[in-house]
Amino acid sequence: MSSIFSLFNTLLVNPIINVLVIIYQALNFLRIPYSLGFSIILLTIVVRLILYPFTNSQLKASKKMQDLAPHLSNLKNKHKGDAKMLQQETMRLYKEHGVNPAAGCLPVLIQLPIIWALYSVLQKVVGNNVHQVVSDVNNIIYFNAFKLTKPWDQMFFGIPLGQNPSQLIGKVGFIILLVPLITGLLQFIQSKMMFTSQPKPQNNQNNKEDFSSAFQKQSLFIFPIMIGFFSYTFPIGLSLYWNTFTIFGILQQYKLQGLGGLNEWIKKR
Amino acid sequence: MKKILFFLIDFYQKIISAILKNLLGVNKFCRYTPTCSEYAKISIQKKGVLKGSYFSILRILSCQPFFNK
Repeated sequence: MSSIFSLFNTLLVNPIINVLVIIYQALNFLRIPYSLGFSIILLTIVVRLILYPFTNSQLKASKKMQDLAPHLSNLKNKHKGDAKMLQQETMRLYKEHGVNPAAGCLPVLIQLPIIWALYSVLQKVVGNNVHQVVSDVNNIIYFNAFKLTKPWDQMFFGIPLGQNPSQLIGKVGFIILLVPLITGLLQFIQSKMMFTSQPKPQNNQNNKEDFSSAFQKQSLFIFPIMIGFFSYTFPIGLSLYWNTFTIFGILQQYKLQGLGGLNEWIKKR
Repeated sequence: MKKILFFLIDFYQKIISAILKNLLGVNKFCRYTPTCSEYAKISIQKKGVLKGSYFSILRILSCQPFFNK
């Protein structure tokens, strides 16, 4: 198990830390204030740009499959009990409508370790023992020229990136609650855009499927609340990463398919 | 053993799957019907734990761009 972790570190975490420090040093060189915070934002954008093609093809396929959902449930009724036939017909339907069945789910899952790696990088970077962080980071840096010579300033517009809202609430006041609120809200917007409500398939749905889809619907609300709560207990630096990540996702989704599920709400008003 | 696996698959289908979809910002990413998890349930039920799991893993691994039947 520990060898898996060290492989994960060598392949993903350490390279990402190196990129982060290069960005940081560049910003420092340009004398940009709050360079650590901006480095986190830029790093997230860089990673999102690398993931862009993966996410894009996924979003497209996902949209098409959602459009085809009614056809699929028709097929399911037609070929009940004949799994092989159903599979063939499904593939044919996908082909007809230009869904790329070659994409599959593994390209999506590639994103997971990267999200996790970014998380552990930032967990390291915003550690509170600044001198320890500097020596840890310097051990990982590939090029001597980029090594940190002094601890970085953790302040970002007056808020220390290494502390979490629950610690800061005493010092900064209730305004810090905006961080978990905004984090949850952005997450909600992204999820809402993603799920366009579908016309209900008419006949015999069994209970189990009903439960799953009900949870799916509720997760639209549960997940943002969960994320908001996490960001209340996680260092601000991590929220900065996650929100940049989400905003990029929202923009990418918007560019590709407009407001999506948000449309229903905006039209109502 | 079967019961544990079924419980895990159920847990995945009901909770993990929804969380993953939210996290990754996609809402449908199965090229197969039934989905892999549903398939795993059926094949474990029919063929037993070992063979069923083996087929299920093969099926999950086949869900990528370099696979052709």
